[in-house]
Parts: sequence; structure tokens; C-alpha cells
Amino acid sequence: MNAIRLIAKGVLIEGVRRREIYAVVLVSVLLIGAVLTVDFFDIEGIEKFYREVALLVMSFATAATAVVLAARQLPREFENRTIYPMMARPVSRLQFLLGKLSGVLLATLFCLAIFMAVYVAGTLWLGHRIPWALFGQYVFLQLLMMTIVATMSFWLSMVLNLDAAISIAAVLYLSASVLSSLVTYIFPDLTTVGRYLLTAFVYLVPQLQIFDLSAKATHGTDWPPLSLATMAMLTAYAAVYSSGFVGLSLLAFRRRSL
Amino acid sequence: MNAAARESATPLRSVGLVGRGVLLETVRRRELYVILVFAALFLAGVLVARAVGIPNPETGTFVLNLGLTLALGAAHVLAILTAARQIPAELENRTIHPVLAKPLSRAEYLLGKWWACTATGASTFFVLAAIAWIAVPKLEDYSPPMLVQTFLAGVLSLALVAALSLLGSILIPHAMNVVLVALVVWFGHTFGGFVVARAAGGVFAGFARWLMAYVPNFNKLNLVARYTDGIGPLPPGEFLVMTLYVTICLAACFAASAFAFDRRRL
Amino acid sequence: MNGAYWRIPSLAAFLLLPLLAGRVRPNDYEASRRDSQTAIERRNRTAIAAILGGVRTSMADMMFVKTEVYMHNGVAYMPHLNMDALSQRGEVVADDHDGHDDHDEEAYDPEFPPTVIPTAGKDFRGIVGELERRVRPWDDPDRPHIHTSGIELLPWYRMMTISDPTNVRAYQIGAWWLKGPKPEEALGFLKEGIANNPRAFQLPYLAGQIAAKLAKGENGETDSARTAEAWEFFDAATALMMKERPEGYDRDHPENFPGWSEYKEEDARGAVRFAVYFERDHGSRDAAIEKAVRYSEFFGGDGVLDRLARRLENED
Repeated sequence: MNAIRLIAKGVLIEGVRRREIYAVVLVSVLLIGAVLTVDFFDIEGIEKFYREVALLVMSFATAATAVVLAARQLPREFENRTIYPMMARPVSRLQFLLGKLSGVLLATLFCLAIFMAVYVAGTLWLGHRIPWALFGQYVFLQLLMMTIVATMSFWLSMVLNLDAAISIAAVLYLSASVLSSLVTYIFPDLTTVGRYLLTAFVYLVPQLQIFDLSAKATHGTDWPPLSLATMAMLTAYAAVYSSGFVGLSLLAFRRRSL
Repeated sequence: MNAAARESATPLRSVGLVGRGVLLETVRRRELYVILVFAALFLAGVLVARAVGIPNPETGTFVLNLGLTLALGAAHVLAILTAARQIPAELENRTIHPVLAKPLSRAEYLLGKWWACTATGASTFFVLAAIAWIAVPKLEDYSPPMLVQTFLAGVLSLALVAALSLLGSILIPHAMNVVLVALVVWFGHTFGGFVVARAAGGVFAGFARWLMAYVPNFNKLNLVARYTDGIGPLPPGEFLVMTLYVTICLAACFAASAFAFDRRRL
Repeated sequence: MNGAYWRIPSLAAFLLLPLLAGRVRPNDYEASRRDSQTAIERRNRTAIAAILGGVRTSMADMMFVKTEVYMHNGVAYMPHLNMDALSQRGEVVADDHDGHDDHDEEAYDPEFPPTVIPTAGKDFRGIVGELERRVRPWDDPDRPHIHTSGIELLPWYRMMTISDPTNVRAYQIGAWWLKGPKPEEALGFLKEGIANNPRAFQLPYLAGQIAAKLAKGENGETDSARTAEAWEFFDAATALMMKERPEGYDRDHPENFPGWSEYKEEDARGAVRFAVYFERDHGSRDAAIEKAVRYSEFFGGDGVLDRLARRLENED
């Protein structure tokens, strides 16, 4: 446990010290701020616009941080040859991976926490109401989604080169909703084999759109929070896929000669 | 390097060699995988679109527009990423010192990096756009000369984005550079519109319009919508003005980069 | 490349860039397929458009999708709202079947459009589909759905006009939603639209209606400056409309006139009628009669104008 904690701490400190997270946060906040400076005719009841823009920019920026941080951890260790002294210590490859993953998730959490603080402060400043229960669930589901995205990026970075890993993870994240609509639409027209393949796709590739509560958080006042059973199912779903990707990463890592 | 070799190292040759190095590095690092990944996704997307059905000419145009727009967008992403990391990576790996120890000016070094990054972006654009263009049924009239202009304007846009990313990589941290250049490419004209709209009617309206004209407007270099709207090509004079616009922006980027690079301690 | 002789001229040329930037306008053209309302509706009501969700390359398409989603409190239905009615009347009504890309064999009912995320009975994804229905905004398509206020869309329309000042429809819909709570601001918004789109007759027509409403004070008094402004708007709308309306437009066969619609025709007739009313009430009776006759002839006959002309002639 101590080894995992130490490795995670190293990743977190590196993530926090490098100016990249702050750059992303700053630019995102400036973008949202610039949009809000537009004269919207001094109309009441336009909080949906603020929520949508802010949550969209923040979700995207958090995902970008998670993907890039996770994908570059292992290739950089190999490229800079810093993995060799690490592996010479009594640290197993699983511990090493879990340490790296924990660090990435903590750095992502750090990024998300800054964003959410900005979002809450902005909402209160504008005098809008926050549906707290739904908002809390939104943040939790974002974290679950980022865990899957980070573990997936880890695995992809082990089997592909860095840019390809980042590209595929980003495409999967960005196209989650489109893929979901697509599979439900084309399913009835497929042959039996096609249907089996599509069903396999739905269960093999994580369906990230099921963690996206941003639309309900945007149109929040009329949507109740999710039930505990739903939250439990989503947590279990995220745990299964994240564990699967960690397992695949470990397999790829073990096969790699140092 | 002996005297003869020194003499043969003309500026053009030096620029060519630096650029060749970038391209070889791109191949060595298997970065072409990204183009292949995008190409495969494109092909899959277009085939799915055909399978789902294109019931009317308007939808055909919509899919063609989307395909060409995504091709241009992906090429820009790749050009930004490639250009933005050239100098930081060379500084981090300390490979810049032996390169600049050769009879090569810093401006030539920058020019070499720039053309190779532009070429990488342009190749991506051509491959992806070709997939989209060939696979989507063309149910409305489109002007072939306009298609040529769309490609040429795309290359001009990629050249500008590569120069801007190289300039940013000398001045600001890597992540900030990538994010800022991306914002200029995709939201620069909207930002300019914001500022002009906010200043409209006030005493600074003219000043705001003048100032915002300095933000490179990549929207003006994207002719995809013009092509898919079935409009004819730009008259040669107008296309020439567009080329001049990019040339001035490019020259300014190089001048600023050269000034900043000269002052930078390696 | 050695030496810095080229740098200063390059930067100096850049200082003059604004002089050149205004001349680079490759995307300023008319008769765009992209912004034709018929084309927008035809391409956005297809299966491929529904699958793509909010992924669009043009602001006009993006607003089409966003309007549908906002009016249904976030629920993604297959697009079904009548955008002509929305922009020209402010009415939120379902469109008929025309233009929809059918997938199901079942009959399409505009009052009960299918949702993009299918019902449990039609979703092969099991638990994944169930979770998506619970997490994303979703409602049973067999239940009647409620259309919410369009006020919340106003910032998007504002953003759209900033991003694309030539989008007439964005000014129209934005002003419709705005004129209820903020008529002065709606009028200002339309004036901005008119300045950016000097050939769109619908904008001065709508501006005239708002100015006419503003001219009538709460206590029955009339603001003469506002009245004159409204009159000017109606005259301007009439003049622009007469240039745009296709010659020989046949209301029984609107499909033969792709750039014109029944909604436009109604607006066109509305603009000239208001112009005649204002001439009658604030100008001269003879001029009103002359205009009523002339405009009626322009439309190939208009019952309202004909009756008005006869009534005015018989007033003596």
C-alpha cells in the first residue's frame, strides 16, 4: 500500500506542479466568463444557458486532462528510462500501475474540484439555484466516467503509441452519445450475426454516455435526482470496466520487456 | 563538415533537411498511426452513414460537409500537436544544440520545422477528405474548381496554424500553447464577433473592429461550406487576396518567432 | 535567411492587416443551401441527423437541434416542431409528417414523436439502455409531452447572431421570445438584425409590429414618434418584400417556389396591409386607396386589401 501511495503522490505532485492543469482551468474559466459578458437583454430565467456552457466546457476539459495525464504516464517512463530504477525496487508491476492510476485520478479529481468550485461560485454569484442532490450525483458520475477513461487510456498507451492512444480515447469519449444512438438505430436492420456483433460491442466497449448527467443537471429544476439503486448500478458498471482495463494494462505491461 | 559541404548547405537545403528530420521522426515515432486511426474511423463513419441511408440530396450535402469539416479539423489538430511540441521536445532532449551548432540560422531551423508540420497536416487533410469525398454520394451540384480552392485554402490554413503553434511554443508553456491555438482556430472569429458586437455603437467600435482584425480568422480559410453550398470558385483576384492575407500573417509569425527564438537562452 | 532584414517589414505589413482582412470574405454569398429553411428541416429530420445528436457544422442546424431539446426540457425527441410557425408566429406546434425519415413501420404521429433513446421494448441493450434512460433526460413517448418556454433559448439566439449576423431566423425567433417581457430590447435586437441583413423583409415587418405596440401607451395615449417609426418599418418591409417575392407565386402550389413559403407569403401580405392601415390612419386616404389597389394587384388579388379599398372609396 505504501508503494502505491508513494507512486500516486509522485504523479499527483507532478500533475499539480506542472502548469498544464492550471492552464486548462484558466482558459476554460475565461471562456465561460467571456460568454457571460454578452448582453442577454437582462432577462431572468436563463440559467440553463450558463449551466450548459459551463458544464460542457468543464466536462470536456476534465476529460482532456484525464486522457492526456493517463496516456502519457507509462510511455514517458519508458522513454526517459525512469522505469528501470523503479522496477529495481521491491515494487510489483501491479502496484506500480495502481500507483500511477491513483495519482492520475487524484490529479483529475483536483482538476474537477477546481472546476466545480468555480461553477458553484459562478452560479451563486449569478443568483441561480443549485439542485444540490443532482449536482452531487453529476460530480460523482463524472469521476466514475473519468476512472473508466483513465484506465482505458492506460491500456491504450501500452498497446499503441502515445498520440494514437490519446486520439482513440478522445474519440470514444466524444462520440459516446453518437455511438449509442447509432447502435440502437441500426440493430433492427441487421442479420443475426450482425446483431450478435453489435451486442458484443455494447458490452465490450464501455458506454460512457450512461454517466453523462449533464443534460439533467442543465435542465435541473424539473428532473429528480437518480435513485440509490441506479447510482449503485452505475458504480458497479464503472468498477467492472475499470478493473478490466487495469487487468489488460497489467497483461500488456508484463509482456513488455524492460 | 568540410568546406565543400559547407558551401553546399544552402539555406534552402538546410530548411529541407530540418523538415525531413521532422518527417522521419514522425514516421519513427509511429505518429502516422494517428492518421490511420482517423482514416479508419472516417471510413467506418461514412459507410455507416450510407448504411443508415441518405434519403434526400440535402442530407447528402450535410454528410459531405460534415466529412470535409471533420477532415480539416483533424488535420488542424494534428498540425497543432506536431508543431507545438517540436521545439519543447528538442529542448527537453537537448537535441537542439547539435542541430544549431551546424551552419544553420535559427530562422532556417524554424522554417524547416514549419514546412514539415504543414506537410503533415496537409497529408492528413488530403487522405481524410478524399475518403469522405469518394464515399459520400453527391446528390447536388458542386463546383470542381471550388473543391480545388477548398483544398488550397485548407493548406494555407494549416500553414498558418503550424506557424502560430511554433511561435506559441517559444513563448508559452506547451499545454497553454495547444489550448490557445486551438481556441484561436475554432473560436477566434466568434471571439472577434463578441468584442465587435459589445463595442458596437460606442466610441471604441471602430477601434474594436480594427483590433480584432489582428486575430487570425481561420473561418475565412475554411471554404468547405462554400463548396457544399454549390457556390462557384472565388475569382482569382479574391483568392489572391486571401493568399496575401495568409502570407502576411505567416511572415509576421516568423518574424515574431525569430525575434523570440534569438532572445531565448538554449 | 541570415540577417534580420525581413523581420521589420513583415511586422510592419502585419500592422496594416486590418485593411486587407475586410476584403477576405469568401463565405459572404446568398442563396445558401445551408441556411434555406426547407433544407435545414429536410436534413435535420433524417435518421442520420438524429443519430448525430448535437453534432453539426452550421449554427443554423445546431439551433434547430437545440430548440427541439430546450422546448422539451432536455428530452431528445425526433425533431418535430414547426420552425416556420416558431419564427414567424412564435407558435410552438408540431409539424406534419412531411420530411420525416421513417424507420419504424408504425404511423408517425406529430403529437407523439418517438424519442431518440428508444423505449425498453425496442431497446436491445438491456441494462445499458435502462441506465441510459434513467440518467439522460427521457420520457415515455406515448405520454403527451409539454413544450416549455423558449425564453431560455434567448442566449443561444444571441450567441448565434453574434457568431453569424446574417442569420435572419435567429433574429426573428429571438425577437419573438423577447418581445413579451422586453419589447424595447426586442426592437433593438431587430434593428441590429436589419443593419446586418438589409434585404430581409421579415425583420422590419416584425420591428414594425413591435414599434406599433410600443406606440400605444398604457393609458391609451399614442407616441407619435413611435408611430412614425412603425410606419417606416412597414413601408421598408413592403418595398423589400416586393423585390424578393417570386413573380406569379401560386399559393396552391408552393412547392414550385422553393425560396418562398406560405409563412413568408402571410408575412408579405401582413406587411403591406399594415403599410396601408398606417397610410389610412396617419397619412392620406387617397394614398391609402392607391396603395391598397396597387398591392392587391401585386398579389394577384387580396381580399382584405380589396375590401379596404372599397370601404375607403365609399366613405364619402
